[in-house]
Amino acid sequence: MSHLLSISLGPVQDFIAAARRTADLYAGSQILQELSKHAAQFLHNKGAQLIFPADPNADGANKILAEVKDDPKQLAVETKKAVQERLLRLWDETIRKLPAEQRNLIDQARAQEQLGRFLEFYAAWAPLPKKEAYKEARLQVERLLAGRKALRDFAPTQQHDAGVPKSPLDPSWAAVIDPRQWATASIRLADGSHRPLRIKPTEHLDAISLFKRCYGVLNSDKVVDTRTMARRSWRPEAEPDERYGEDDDHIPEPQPYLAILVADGDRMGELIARQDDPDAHRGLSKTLDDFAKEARTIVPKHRGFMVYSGGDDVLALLPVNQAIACAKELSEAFRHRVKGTLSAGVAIVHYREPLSVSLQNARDAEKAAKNGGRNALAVALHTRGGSPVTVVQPWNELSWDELLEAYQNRQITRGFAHELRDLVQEWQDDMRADYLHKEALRVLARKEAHDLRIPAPTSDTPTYRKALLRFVDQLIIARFLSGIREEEHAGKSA
Amino acid sequence: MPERVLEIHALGPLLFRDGRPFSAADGTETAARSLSLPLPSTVAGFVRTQVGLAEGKGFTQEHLQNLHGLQVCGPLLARGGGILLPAPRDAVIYKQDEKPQVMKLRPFSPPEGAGCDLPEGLLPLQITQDVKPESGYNFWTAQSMTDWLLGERVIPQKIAGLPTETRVHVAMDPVKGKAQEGQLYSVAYRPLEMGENPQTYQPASLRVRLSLPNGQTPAPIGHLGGERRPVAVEVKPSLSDYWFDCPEAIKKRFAELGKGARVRLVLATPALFEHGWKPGWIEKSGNGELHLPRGLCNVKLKLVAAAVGRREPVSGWSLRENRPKRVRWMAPAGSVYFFEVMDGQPADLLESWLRPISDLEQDRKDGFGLALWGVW
Repeated sequence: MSHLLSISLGPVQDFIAAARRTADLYAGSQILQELSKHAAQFLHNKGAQLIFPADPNADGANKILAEVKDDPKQLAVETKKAVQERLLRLWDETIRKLPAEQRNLIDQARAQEQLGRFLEFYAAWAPLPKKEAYKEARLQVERLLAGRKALRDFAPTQQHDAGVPKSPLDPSWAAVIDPRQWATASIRLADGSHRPLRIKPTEHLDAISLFKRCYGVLNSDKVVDTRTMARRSWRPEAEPDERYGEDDDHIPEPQPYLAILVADGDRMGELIARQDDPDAHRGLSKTLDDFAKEARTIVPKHRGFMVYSGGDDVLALLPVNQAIACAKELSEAFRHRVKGTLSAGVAIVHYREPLSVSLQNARDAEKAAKNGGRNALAVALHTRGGSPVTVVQPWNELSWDELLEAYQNRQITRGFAHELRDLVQEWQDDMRADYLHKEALRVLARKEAHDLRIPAPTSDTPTYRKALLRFVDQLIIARFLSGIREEEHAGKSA
Repeated sequence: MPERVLEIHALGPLLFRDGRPFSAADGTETAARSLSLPLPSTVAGFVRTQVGLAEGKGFTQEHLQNLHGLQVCGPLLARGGGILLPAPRDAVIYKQDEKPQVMKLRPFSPPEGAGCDLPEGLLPLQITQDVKPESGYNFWTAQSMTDWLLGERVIPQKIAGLPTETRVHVAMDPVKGKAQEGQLYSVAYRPLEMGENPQTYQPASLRVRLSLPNGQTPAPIGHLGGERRPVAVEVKPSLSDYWFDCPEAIKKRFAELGKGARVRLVLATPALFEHGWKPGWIEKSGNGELHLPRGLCNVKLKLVAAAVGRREPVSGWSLRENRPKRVRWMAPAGSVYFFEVMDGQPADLLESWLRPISDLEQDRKDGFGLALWGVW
């Protein structure tokens, strides 16, 4: 009899977010993709008929669903072993490109302990007596998998690390290197040249972080760092190469912010649950893969860097002034292809902010879009200091373009938002809302952007004041999104 | 020695380090993150310091050894008058028609032909609804927890826990006394207060329970957690008003139970076990062996299923050896273990109510793995 076999690999978010450099981030998501793909291919070669992903060569997805003829329990065991071996092989292949004297400085025993314990693998299976029973069987297997994942079993770790500093990226792991011996370490690229790993003297990397660093540097021709991304808002052609050797400098960027975009499909579980048979589900898998592929062309078009795109998930870095346009295009593509809606979060962050924190900001923004009713875009501004500001709007009510244009054409400056805010804050709740609107228009009349639309009152004054304060938030965010270089009198920014 | 409850009040936002190295220097993580609550060992160390300071005999090797042996049970979060407990992981809160609902996870035997890759002999938990868990239900009141442990239907209040307050600092040049270029760092503090928004915040505190040697009062002011943040310590006049004693309803229910009963263990603080996620005492339970956590030497238990969250690391700095401690992995607070009583009186298990049930004695003294018991 056939079975449905469902597999989930991890860790995902924590693993990807444990990154200091963009290359680490990229490496994390690539390694995870590589392992998932290996699991899918392994099952495919064992005669399993893949459902999600439908194509064994598709990228992304830490989740696999397949129809299998053999004993599913045995297959799960074998797949787990195959993925584990693949991880060790990938580590070997990567580390082998380090010079021998460097490689010998790695605490191999501890590294093996960490690599052996790092992967999470969960599997569940349910009988599939006939195609018509697919809907129920799929529901059964997914619920079983969720029930199995309630227990995240782990064995005690033996890293023999008393006296050894812990990894700054994941405190579950102790360092496998002494970073002071790695200051000048480099790795050999395919063309025979060497590229520095740039491990700082305080970076006590564990095996997984070291793996990511090496993997990331080997692929650094594909990676755009946060600083270059910030630069691209005023110099779209900027490339990472130009700033080699600049890493340690303290030259301030005239516009030091970049955007991180996180998006995923709304109510995907319900959409999947509507698929009546394996072939319909395969069709959906393919559609999602097509979207992921299209997303991979949309992001670079906006001078962005795609960190991860698989299924309905997107994670990308973008120049601030491209973020809205790119998000809109992704939403359109999703609507067009998948016939569903997308929720996206964009966090505007400083390029020097720790990447893990910035990434969390972007995920929180995406959550805000979901909580704001889905099918929406949330934009969150995180300046260095000051509390974050978030604005959520449904895709069909976005009103960013007008504001961005006004800033880009220098018709308004940052002072306007603050003038308006002072006005709203001074206005008492027992004063008339329409007068407040008129007063706001009078403030605007002194600027060049006369035709900017300031929201008009729809009900009482307290409500209107709240609406205007949201508009002020949007104005403040829009100045950052416009990507204009810092005006004079820097230091007074919002 | 009489047991007392100590209440710890924050005099400013606190920082509970998560084990990541952190400094303003280039290249390290320049953002310090805070755990949602301090680890038991952090609080135990703090309380012992305060006791040692009050004794005023200095911290000689001998004194240190004595202090190290002082058992400290905690920390539990308290708000207003009541204790709050970490949400049990066998409850999934979701929204239906804008109203919170609870899905109760219970062990079940999958039907013929279906299965999963759990460790041998364990049952999966049954998912009965395909829902997205609601976030923010991180702590439960003692009343909700009591009802839950008795197997009743509970809709808990939404209590997210301590808020995060991120502050950005600038590293100072110690010689010139001015800010160092580009060396910003941020610290995510946890103020000991709770509420929907700053207007409705009310103070929160941490409570621990211990036997004070010679009825002493610990030093009233000290520093807890990272960055030497100040706190005040207060000795509470009575025990049961400030602690979560085992409720009568649970005692009554357990008294009725016998062999074959199904009991549940919920961790109120993270635990350290010999087998990682799994307590080492399960196999030894009920054989009369000494050195087991309280109550477990008389009751033989069989593990049926478990809801355990992802491992959490604990390491820290050994002041004695002046170097980092080894890292160990804890089963997180709120983890739930489902047992079947093979032998003995289930009521004996309540001896370890809010007492530590970690495998090693020192971990128990540090407060790892406070137990709550219920039925299923």
